[in-house]
Amino acid sequence: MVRNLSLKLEDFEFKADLKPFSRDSTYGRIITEMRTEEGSVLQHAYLTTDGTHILFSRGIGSSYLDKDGNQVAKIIEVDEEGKEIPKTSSMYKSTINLGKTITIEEYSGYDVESTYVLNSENVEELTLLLLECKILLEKGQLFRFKYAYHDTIKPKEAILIPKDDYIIVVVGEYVPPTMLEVSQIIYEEVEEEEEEVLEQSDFDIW
Amino acid sequence: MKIHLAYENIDALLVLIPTHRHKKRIRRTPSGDEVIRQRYLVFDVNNRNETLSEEENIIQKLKESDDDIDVELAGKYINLTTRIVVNDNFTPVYNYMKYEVLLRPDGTLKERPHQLTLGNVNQSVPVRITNELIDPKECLMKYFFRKSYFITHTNGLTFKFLYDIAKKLSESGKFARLDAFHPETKKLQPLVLYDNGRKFPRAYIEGKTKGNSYCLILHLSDQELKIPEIQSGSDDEN
Repeated sequence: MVRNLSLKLEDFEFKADLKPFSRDSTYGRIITEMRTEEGSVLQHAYLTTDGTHILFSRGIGSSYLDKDGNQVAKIIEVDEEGKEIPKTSSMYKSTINLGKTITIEEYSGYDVESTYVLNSENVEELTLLLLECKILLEKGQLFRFKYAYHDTIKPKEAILIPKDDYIIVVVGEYVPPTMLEVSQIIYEEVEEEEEEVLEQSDFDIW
Repeated sequence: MKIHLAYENIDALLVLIPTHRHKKRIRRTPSGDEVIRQRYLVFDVNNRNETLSEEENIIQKLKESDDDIDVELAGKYINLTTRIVVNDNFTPVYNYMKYEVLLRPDGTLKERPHQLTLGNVNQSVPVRITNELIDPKECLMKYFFRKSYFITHTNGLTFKFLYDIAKKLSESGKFARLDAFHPETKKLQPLVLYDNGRKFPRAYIEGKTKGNSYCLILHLSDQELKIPEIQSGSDDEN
């Protein structure tokens, strides 16, 4: 089922959904198969340490126990100070206001975790947003909003990137640069190596 | 993780630290008491859905009994498990071949014997910072960067080496491309952090300086910023 986001930029508001795409959909997917000499395909399983049970991952469950060994029905996640980490509501529950932006420099502090194409039946509004994204990119900036598929204690950030006639939504987390210092400086010389002109490797995965 | 990095006529062994480090999750009871995670056995191979569904009149059997649950086993605490390879009869197999099967987006299949990918960042032939500079905006709008690492010094010598690189890059306002090489053939190849690791065909380095401090970030990409044919899939969290 397609879930719609409600996006708002200044005066206009419209519904849109996220169509996922990945590296696999561009270049293909490699699966490693294990086969016998006769060609039968084998599979992975898990052997318990006592050697008595062979399990598949779905056959292993997990739960949380308190210090007395009793099962705990509800657990919470806390920060280093022991305070409960509050949950961020799902982005599908309320209107997303596209008022916040990041600079291109800040975008380099994100590791891309997942990618989507913003899709909408409201073509006019989507085109308008695409135009706004392109104007913003000219200024070296990108729209961003909080990405939380479900209610979560670990929301990510979604960045809107205009690409041709589409808006790509990149999901990731920002980490600021860490500046490093040192007091001692020592020099050393190493023999120069011959420069070679080489072709770049391509993205083909085969 | 270490990286053997060369720039102009200098090379050095340095340390890579992931920019996005995994944060330890701290779980508690609602009253704040510590908890421990315990794994337990749900069912073994004899009670898999696939095995049960092969039985005759399985629906009727499940209505009349609890054949899908082995009360002697279910809930048994287990600790470490070892990953093994089994055949259709769930018998461990030790002698087998690995193959790589490629499924292309157009639906075509290709296969070949598994090829071990050797890590190439910490070997005798260093990863080289090239003179090819690229505007950060152009670079970030051309590739998706999946992983990034801080390149850090190990002593005063390597501090100076890295500080100088960071300063040059910072002043130029550009990213520099990195080239990685095959350990034996010395041919250019995608950057691979460890054996059988992911191949990154593009690697760029970003540098910043502030007073006597520097920051060098290695950005790795395995995907161009382009859209494949839009799929009809849903927006399920991936």
